Amino acid sequence: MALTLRKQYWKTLISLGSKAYPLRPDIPIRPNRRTMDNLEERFLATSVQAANLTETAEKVEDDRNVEKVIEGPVNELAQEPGEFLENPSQEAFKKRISRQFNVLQKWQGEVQSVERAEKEFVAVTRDLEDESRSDENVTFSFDEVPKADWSLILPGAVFYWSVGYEQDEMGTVYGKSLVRFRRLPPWSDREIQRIKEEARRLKEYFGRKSGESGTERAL
Amino acid sequence: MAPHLGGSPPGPNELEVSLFGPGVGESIVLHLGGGDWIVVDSCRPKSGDPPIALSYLEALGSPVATALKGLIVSHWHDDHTKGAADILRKAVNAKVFCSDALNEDAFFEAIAASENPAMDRSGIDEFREIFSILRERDRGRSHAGSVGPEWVRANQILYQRTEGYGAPCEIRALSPSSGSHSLSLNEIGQLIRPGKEKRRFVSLEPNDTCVALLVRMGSARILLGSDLENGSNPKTGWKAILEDGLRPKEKSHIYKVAHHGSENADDKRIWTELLEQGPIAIITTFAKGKKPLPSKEDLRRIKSNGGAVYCTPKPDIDAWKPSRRLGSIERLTSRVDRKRTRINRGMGHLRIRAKADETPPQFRVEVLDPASQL
Repeated sequence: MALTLRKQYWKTLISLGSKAYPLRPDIPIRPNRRTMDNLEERFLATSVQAANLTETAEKVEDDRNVEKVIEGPVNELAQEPGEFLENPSQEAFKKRISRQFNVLQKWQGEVQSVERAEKEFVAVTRDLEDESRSDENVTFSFDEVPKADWSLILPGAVFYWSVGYEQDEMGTVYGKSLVRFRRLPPWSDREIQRIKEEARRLKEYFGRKSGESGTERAL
Repeated sequence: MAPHLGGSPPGPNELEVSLFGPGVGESIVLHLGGGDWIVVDSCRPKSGDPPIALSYLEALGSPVATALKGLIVSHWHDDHTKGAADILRKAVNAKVFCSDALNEDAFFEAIAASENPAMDRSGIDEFREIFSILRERDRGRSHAGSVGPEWVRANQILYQRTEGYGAPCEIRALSPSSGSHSLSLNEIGQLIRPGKEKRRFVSLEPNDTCVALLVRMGSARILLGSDLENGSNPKTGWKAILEDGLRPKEKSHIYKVAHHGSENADDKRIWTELLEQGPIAIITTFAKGKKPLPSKEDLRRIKSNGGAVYCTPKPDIDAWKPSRRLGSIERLTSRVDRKRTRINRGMGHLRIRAKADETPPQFRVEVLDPASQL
């Protein structure tokens, strides 16, 4: 028995492995220009037929009528895995649905103290969206930090904390918190040399001069 | 609302001690008679605001450029230095004083390193600004380094007036002792090494390099404890002061409690040998980190010594709750942060005045919320 249009549609998409799923089978499809050229004509033909199908599907109650129109090209499409399909006719699907993280709030944090036994640390966080807000003490668990950053959790270390909602490729939305520590190149020999040179100049200029007792400079 | 008590400036023969504290940070403004002012440490009401000492002096109508005689930066921690450079820019005739224990290679290296963007907001960058201003002022003078800073040691007199305005006046340093060699600077020195990751300077060791001060005007005496703590070395910190045979033996009436009332900055002998019975104790809070100061135990201990105790702002832990955000942000953050408290609660102001020629001195205390008497 021939599959219904809906089942055929899903079988095609799954076999193609497309990341962009038009969610309604009556929506016409047409090929992506970046895909193989030799399929383009057939895709175009399919999209024309599919466009006709949109109008037809609304009038036809019997799926079998619709199958006759689309069965051939859809079966051919099913032979070509890995192709990417776009559906430009619908505004919502003009772009590929990709993972998105919508940040609602962001802070810069500085670690104050670390309790490795309890796997937590306390940090002072500064609101990056609104400087007028007070800084806050926040206690974090190590589990909120990627394991690759655990070695960076030290007093004085700076990190960025973002919270918001993430949407994956399927359109599912999750609440998300992201803590990433600032990674800077370590002190280089050249930098240390420059620092020592500058420090020597500062001390020579401002340091206590020999022979000064410190009692004769009162206001 | 202004973050300070307004009103008229003190009289020419009137002593004033004003203590400011916003939650993290403190600043003390001293009037020593005749319109002479000294500022000890600096903080801002909020990031980006002018330093509170400047705002206060300008509100009183004092000409900062001529009236501010000295800026004492008791140590390098950023809660005591924020805005100090801005004060110095306006107080063109003020001398700068800082602890002689900082006159070390590690400290100058930290200043040089603070130019690196990774070291932003480390606290030491304020010193870099101060030195830059001093260098500018020094240009054209015959003796390089003649505008300071003055490196302060125990028993050094920073300010002295023998007559006029009702009574003689003096500011004397009680610390750092000659034995203080800044363990915290060793920590900094360890951070600036080839191959070490760049991190902001955070001091973890007890602070024994601070400048604690004894202020005397007429019969009134004030002990300003800064953040001086007791380390393991008895030749540093409060132990060194108590054992110092050269220190003045008079006891003080007012005590700016050291290190926000913490236990390791306290010593029973401070209350028996350095302070009069039932002194006025004034404290600033420190709300950063896991254990805000002063704790309830700290306050109990301080109150047990008798006398009035004031704190800016109020140390009430429940009041440190963070302000509400959008519901969606609250829901997201509540799943992550195990505990969240607000650090800045607004600038509190404690003002104490007394006539220099009164014996004994009659202190009048004014309080601006969120400061309060405990």
